[in-house]
Amino acid sequence: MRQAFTPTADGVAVDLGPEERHLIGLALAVLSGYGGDPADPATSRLTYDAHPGDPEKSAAFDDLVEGELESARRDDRTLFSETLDSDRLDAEQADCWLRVVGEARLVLGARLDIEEDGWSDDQGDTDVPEMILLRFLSAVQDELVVALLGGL
Amino acid sequence: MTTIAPDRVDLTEIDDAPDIDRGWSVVVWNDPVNLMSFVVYVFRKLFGHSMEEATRLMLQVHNDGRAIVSQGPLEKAELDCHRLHHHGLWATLERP
Repeated sequence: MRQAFTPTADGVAVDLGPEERHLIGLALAVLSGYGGDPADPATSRLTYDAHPGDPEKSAAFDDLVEGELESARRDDRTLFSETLDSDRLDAEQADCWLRVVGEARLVLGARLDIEEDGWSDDQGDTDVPEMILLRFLSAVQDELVVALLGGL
Repeated sequence: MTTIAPDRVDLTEIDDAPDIDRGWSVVVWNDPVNLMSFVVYVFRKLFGHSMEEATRLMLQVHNDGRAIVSQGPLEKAELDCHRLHHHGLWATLERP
């Protein structure tokens, strides 16, 4: 099988067809459907409490990073979208791909109610669209990580 | 009877443990969705760990459910925690 990502001096070269890029781009569709709705299981996964059990310190932390996480996520999605058709990614763009794909995986995992390790070995659920996309994005993220680790 | 000079005062008894920052630990918790390879990459990228150390920490998270990945003053620990959150890792802070 051909390599989708090959290490370069400052990032990776990308060898992906339009269909694959379209599927990877579905990460954005997954994330655009996530709006912090408390009823969405993804909300609790993507909302962090840095000081569990200490509301005062948690509030201070939230004040410190207020808006930072959301704006960093927005910037990532913009850069990801702008580079989705690129044949080369520099290190920052590649990291951004990892984060967007990773975040979409977390949303999918939460909605699929994945709570235990070992789910990826389970051959069931192969006809559930969210699971198919999760597995595909897992493969993409893993390939990109392997290429980037080679360059560290 | 009185004296002008005060009695010698033992400062160590009243100056009870000054509020020095003994440091905070950044803890990463296991989650079933993040890939092992991605977690290793994040530890290497954010903390400059060797492949061996990053892998050891990732396996500790995976096997024990948690691992301390960095330590330092609150400000630095909070920044590390924020950067881990930005990468989708479940991180919290605690006193060692």
